[in-house]
Amino acid sequence: MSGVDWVVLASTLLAIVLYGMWRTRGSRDLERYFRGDHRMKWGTIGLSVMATQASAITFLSTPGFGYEKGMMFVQNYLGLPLALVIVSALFIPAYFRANVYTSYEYLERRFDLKTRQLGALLFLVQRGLSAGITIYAPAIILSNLLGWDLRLTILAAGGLTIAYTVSGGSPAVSLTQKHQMAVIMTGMVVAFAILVADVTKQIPFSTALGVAGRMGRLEAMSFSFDPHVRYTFWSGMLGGLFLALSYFGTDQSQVGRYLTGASTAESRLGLMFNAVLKIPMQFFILFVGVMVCVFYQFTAPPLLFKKTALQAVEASPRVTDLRALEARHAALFEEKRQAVRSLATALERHDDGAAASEGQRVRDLLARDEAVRTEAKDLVAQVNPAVRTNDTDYVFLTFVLAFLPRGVIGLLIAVIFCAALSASASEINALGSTTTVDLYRRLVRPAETERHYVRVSKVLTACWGMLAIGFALFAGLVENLIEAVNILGSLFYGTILGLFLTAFLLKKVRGTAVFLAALGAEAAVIALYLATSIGYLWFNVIGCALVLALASLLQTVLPAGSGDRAPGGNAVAPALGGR
Amino acid sequence: MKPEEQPPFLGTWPRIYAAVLGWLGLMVLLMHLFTLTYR
Repeated sequence: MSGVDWVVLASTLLAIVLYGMWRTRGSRDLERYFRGDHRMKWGTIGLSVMATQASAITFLSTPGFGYEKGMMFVQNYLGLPLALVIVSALFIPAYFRANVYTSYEYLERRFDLKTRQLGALLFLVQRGLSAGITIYAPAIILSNLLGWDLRLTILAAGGLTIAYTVSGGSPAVSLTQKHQMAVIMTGMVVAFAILVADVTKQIPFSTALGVAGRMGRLEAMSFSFDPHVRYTFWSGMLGGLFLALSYFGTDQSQVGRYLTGASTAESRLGLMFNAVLKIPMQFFILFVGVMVCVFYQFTAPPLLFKKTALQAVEASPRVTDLRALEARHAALFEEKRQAVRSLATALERHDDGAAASEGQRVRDLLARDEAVRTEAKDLVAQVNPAVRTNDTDYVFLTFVLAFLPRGVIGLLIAVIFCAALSASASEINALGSTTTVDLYRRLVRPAETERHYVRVSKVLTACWGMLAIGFALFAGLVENLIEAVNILGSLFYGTILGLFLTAFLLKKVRGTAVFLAALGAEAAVIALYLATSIGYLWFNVIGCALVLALASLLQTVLPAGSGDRAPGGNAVAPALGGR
Repeated sequence: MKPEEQPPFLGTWPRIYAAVLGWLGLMVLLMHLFTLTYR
């Protein structure tokens, strides 16, 4: 990175963070620290919700997926607008009427204390583990590509996040996210414009679309019922619906965003903003990856985008095998470039026969090149089995660093940092508020002053931030833990959603029944995970359905009055004023 | 706080939701046509 890039990166990040801290200084009561005095307008809420969901890995992995497999991943988001409509119609009015700081408070209002604690604990375990990954995942990529010290990168990202999240609480998170999203979208649009300008030096844009289509990269929609097709309209609508419903409706990192709304109307509109824009945004990011793929048909791509993975081979006796693979990769690139040029000519002449045969030739060459890349990955694994060879996340940033002008590189690195900061800030803010409100204030010190709870919340938020940094620092030692954490999250989401849907939809079910149902459903989901090979997206559906079914069943067999209060009653200690 | 506040446009929330779901349907249709065009 050049000096200009460093100036752009540092000034962008510091300006946003310092502005957020300054605008939200002096928060001394819970209402302001957790809900920003209910002042947020729908635009801020909408951008904040969007920024919370879009972590750094979204802007690294998604273009990489577009490059390798095309647009099909966009279908994963099809259930999201419907989920946001349900959250808006069902969840938001309930949370506002109950006047809660966290979603788990609502569970006590509706059921009882043990159900609230179960919901809060499931969230804390799941989100507490994943907060470290939110920081680690981009840091490892940036350190690999830019040669930065991994620990310093993690400490810088984590330290900045803790500083403004602790200082200003929820309103600081929302305010900074608004500006971070502006930087992110500006950076992506600038990168796309430069990319299209580069591609159109070779072939017209309409021909580039035709080439990408013949390479199988523009299949955005599939209505296939084949269970082996991973991304379809059906899996996106059903699996995506439950995942999004659980995430936006019950996860405090999202609920905390829209509870800052000046009214239910502002909060609802913030979610509708996401319902309208999320799919086009994901389509655009995937499309950037597809254009990177077209670009690399005319400019030689590296054998592996994660070049550091090849270092061990370079220093080993197997380097001759590596050179042979590089030579095959280079020869295939030249052959493929000729085939793509012939395909482009056929498309421009509207010669369907030639386009079909040249398209098939390009696809064959792509498959042969992918086989060479797989051989290279196998070679790396043979020399050093500890090295991860998946380079999908490295594709976009490799392009950025090699082909974008000075200054724009700094802007794109700022995009990655902004995304990392905005997602992790929401997470540690939610972890701090849940620990303060649902555990400390409810169970440990129920009758302290507002200022005391704000101080405790700041300390707990900082502790969760440091825990996330600590987890990120050690995540590299246990790479498989990352995947385990992601799966762990999906194992819990269905059960948590089941708790909330039971609260909203099954008015006769009481606390003990839903509590036991949730324990039973969680045990069943874990057993299914261990004993079967069901895709983990489906555990959201299974866990939720099991809670609803078991809660209904148990409510009919449990003796009446077994420690339960009437639905809708208020069993919260009077000293807490209903919280 | 007024839990049942109306939206600033389209009059009622069900109309807003219908518009959002209509938008989803339109996106599915457009992406399907996009797929067919460039297959």
